Amino acid sequence: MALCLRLAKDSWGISWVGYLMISSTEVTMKIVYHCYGGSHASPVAAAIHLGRLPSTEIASREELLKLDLFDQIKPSLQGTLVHVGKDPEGNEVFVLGARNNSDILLKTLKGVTRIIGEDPDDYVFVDLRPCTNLWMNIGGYTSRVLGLVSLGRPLVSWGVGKAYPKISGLVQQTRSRLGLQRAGGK
Amino acid sequence: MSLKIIYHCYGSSHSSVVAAGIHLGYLPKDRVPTRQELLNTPHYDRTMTRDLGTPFLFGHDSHGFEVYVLGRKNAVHLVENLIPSVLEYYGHPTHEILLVNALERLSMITTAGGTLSRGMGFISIGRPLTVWGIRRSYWNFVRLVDSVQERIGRISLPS
Repeated sequence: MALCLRLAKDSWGISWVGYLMISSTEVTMKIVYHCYGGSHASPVAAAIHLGRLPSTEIASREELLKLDLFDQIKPSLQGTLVHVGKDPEGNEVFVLGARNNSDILLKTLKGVTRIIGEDPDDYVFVDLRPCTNLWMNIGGYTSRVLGLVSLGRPLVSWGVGKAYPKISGLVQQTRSRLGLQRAGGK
Repeated sequence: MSLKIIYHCYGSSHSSVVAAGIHLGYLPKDRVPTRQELLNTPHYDRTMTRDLGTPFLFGHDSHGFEVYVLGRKNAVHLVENLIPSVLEYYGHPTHEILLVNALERLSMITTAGGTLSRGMGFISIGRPLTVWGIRRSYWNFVRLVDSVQERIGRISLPS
C-alpha cells in the first residue's frame, strides 16, 4: 500500500497530501533480495540494507567473509527463503536464490503466502542479477557448484568488490522507493 | 489443522491436473477415462504460460482438504525448498502443505504434446497427443494418487 502510494506520487506528481498519508501509515514490507544462487550478491545487498556493510565505500574482503550467508548456500538449498533481519523501520529483509526461475518462484512465494492465510501484498522483490559480473559467476560456480572453496571464494569476493557500487546503488534505490532513509554507512 | 495438497508439474495443465482430478473424483480410478472425460476436466490443457508459478485451487477432497495445482517449469527443488521455508517463517507447521510431484511418471508423448499445445500454440496437434499420452500412463497417476491418499488418511486419522 505504502509502495503503491509512493510510486503513484513518483509517477504522477501527487503532492504532499499523498506524502503525508504515506508517512502516517506505518506499513512494513518484506523485502526479498534475490539472485541466482542466493549466496553472494543478495546477502551483500541485504547486509547493506541492514547497515551491516558500508554503503558509500567498498567493503573489505574480511567484512564480506564475516557475513553469515556469504558464499554459504549450497546449490541443493537454493530456493530457500532465508530471513536475514529487520531494518530499523521494521521491514523484514530476506535473501533468496532463485536461479533463473525468479518469475515462477516469486509467484509461488506469493501464492503460498496467500494459501496459508497470510498477506501476500507486502512483498518487495529486488533482482540482483543485473549487478553481478563475470568474476562473481565464475567464482560462485567454482566455490558452490564445483566445491573448490579455496579457489572460488577469493575470486567471488574480488568480483563482489567490483560489483559493489552497483549493488549498493540498487539497495539505495530500493530504500528510497520505499521511503526509507539512506542506509547508514559504517 | 487443514492440510493443503499441491500437485505440481511442468506446466500445470496435464499431469498435475489429471492427478488432482483423480484425487477429487472428477476422473475414475477403476478404468482409463475416455478422451472426452479428460478434455472435460477443469483446466485440462488450458493453463497459459503467465499462470505458471501460481498455485490455484482445484477443489476440496473428501476430508475437506484443499487440493491445488501448480506449474513450476523445471524448478522442482527450488519450489520444494521454498514452500517449507515460507511456512517456517510464518510459524506454520511444515506439514501443512503436502507437495506432490506429478511429473515423475509421465510418458514422452504427453511431454511432446504439451510442448506443442501450450508452448507453441499448436493446440490441434498437441491436445490429442497429450490425451493419448495420459491415457497410456493413466495407471501411474492412479497409483500416485492412491499413495497420496493413503498418506493423508494416516495424517488425518489421529485428529
